[in-house]
Amino acid sequence: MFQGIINRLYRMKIGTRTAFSFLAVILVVLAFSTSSIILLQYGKNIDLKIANNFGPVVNAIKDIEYTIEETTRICKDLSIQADESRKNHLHKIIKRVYPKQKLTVIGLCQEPGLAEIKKKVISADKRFEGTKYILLEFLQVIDSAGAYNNPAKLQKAQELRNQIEKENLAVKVVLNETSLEAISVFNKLTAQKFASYRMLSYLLLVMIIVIAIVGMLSIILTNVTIIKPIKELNNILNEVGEGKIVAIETHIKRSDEIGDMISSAQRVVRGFKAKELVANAIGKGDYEIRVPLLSKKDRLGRAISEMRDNLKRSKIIEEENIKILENSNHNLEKKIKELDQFAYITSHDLKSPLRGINNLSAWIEEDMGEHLSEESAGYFKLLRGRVNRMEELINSILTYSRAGKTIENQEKTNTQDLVYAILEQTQMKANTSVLIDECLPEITANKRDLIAVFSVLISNAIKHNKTNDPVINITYKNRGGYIEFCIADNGPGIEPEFHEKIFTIFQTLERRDDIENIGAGLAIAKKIVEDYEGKIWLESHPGMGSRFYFTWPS
Amino acid sequence: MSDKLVNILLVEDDEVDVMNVKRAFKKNNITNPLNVCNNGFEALQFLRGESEIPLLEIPKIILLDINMPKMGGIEFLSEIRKDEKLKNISVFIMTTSNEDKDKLDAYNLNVAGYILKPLSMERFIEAVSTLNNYWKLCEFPEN
Repeated sequence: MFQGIINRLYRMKIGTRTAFSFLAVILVVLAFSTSSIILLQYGKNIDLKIANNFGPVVNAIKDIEYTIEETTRICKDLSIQADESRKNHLHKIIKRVYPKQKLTVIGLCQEPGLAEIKKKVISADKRFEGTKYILLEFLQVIDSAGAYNNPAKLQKAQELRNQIEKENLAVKVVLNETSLEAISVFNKLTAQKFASYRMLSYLLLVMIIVIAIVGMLSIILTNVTIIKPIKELNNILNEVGEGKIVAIETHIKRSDEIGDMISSAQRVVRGFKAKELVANAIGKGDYEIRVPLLSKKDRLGRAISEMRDNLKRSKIIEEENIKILENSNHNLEKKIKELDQFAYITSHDLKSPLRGINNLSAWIEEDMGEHLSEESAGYFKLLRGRVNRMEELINSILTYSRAGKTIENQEKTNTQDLVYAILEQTQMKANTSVLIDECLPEITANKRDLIAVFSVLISNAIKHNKTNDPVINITYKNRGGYIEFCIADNGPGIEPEFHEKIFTIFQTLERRDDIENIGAGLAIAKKIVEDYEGKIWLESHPGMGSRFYFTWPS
Repeated sequence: MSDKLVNILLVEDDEVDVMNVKRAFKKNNITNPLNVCNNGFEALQFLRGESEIPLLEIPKIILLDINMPKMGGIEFLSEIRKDEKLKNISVFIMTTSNEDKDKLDAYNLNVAGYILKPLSMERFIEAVSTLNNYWKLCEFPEN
């Protein structure tokens, strides 16, 4: 039922609801104050009645009683001796005092609640009216001349006095009863007054309770229907403010201001949600997506749409740039390949005439036989030596042009095994000592590429070392992401100014005739290492040995 | 071992190299009949009897260079492997090319051997001698 009432409340505007509750409170207060006023008035009326009628009635009755007693007393006195003033006083009572007092009481007894008392007073009066004749007769008796000296007359007066006394006593009893009755009526009225006051206090208590209940109900209703939804909405808007987009769900249909507020917030959130979807799509590269505009004033929507257009434009430009870059890269690669191909073909084609020269010279030498002078034989020897070197040069160019990262057969290679295999095939002096780090690492490489690099560095270290106790030290360091190898020797060392030059093809630091050295090894090693995106360098000073380093991706 | 000497065809464009082979034959006393063609195209014509030089007998052995004008060795090889009459000839590659690709192509076309021409005369004579011993040892089907 409570829920039903709340649901009905939700269909009202908050203003209407407030007006209704004010009206209800005002009505309750009005009802209570009206009834209080009525009750107060009632009590006051009773008070007035008591003050105006009931008190005076009792007093007036008492006055009559007193007057009647006085007549009794005066009669007693007059029956014994004559007293002019008392006689006059009695006359005055009979003629003026008593009628006046009687009229006062009857006048006071006009209230409907005093009807009974009035009746009794009238009956007492009737009786006293009778007594009045006896009093007048008594006065006649004692007024006659020589009455006090006449025992018969005195006797008569005494009799009348007794009669009066008796009558008066009876009237007094009646009056006494009447005044008692008046007091009891008075008490009844007082009780009524207190009852009305008690009622008033109960009414006030009830009013306080009712107002307290109404107040509490209105607080609860306000809390449930206004503050709670506002708090929830506030929490959600806070989350939205922090960037989290939460859907606002309501189970109750409400058409008040809070309902309007919730639906506005829902619109805001829906707008954000739509924008989020669009922004995500744009982020993923969908530049064709339509940006929903909430209205003509949707600045965020327009900004997103502008952003999308800008991104689209820069994407197009970027793609064009990439295409240009790819083209030039492609051209560069093509040129490099062409250059390698050129070197390869040229050197290849150079080889056959060279072999022809070699063959022909051999045949001339053979055919001449003993006719050949010693000098000419020497020239032929030199000729063939030069032909040999030229073939080696050509072979180096061939190897250099072919050197690089081989795409095929890239596999996990154990450098430890590889270095030992190279050392086994390398000729070295008997007292050469080779120190190798324990457990050289495993790296991914084409075995032949790696062998080419290691053999160049190892054979250089041995070939150029002219000390009596050559030492070669092969170590490595894991640099995270790549391995740094080091081949160190205690050989002659190299001047720092030549450190770069030695990696250029056909650059040697010694006479070709002194040492069998073409000068392509380091160039080939450098080409391979750099093709694997590594580096090759050395640290060396004359007389200090050399340390050749190269890196390889791990 | 057959008494009859097998015919040999040399396909080589370099005149000195032809002389070289002939000289090496002489040095090793190899008397097998030797025909010479200067490129693959000429050799194909000769083998199919379309050449001016009359084809007496289809040679059992071909010594083949790779880099030649008009038609290279590998192309020639793939042609004869497709030819029903010629596909079972033993072919030895004699070349200066040390290329892996050439070696792989050659062996894929079932060559009997791949020989790099050495620079010095002596080593070449040795190589030809070995070859001679090899084909003397082998039996070839009669035509």
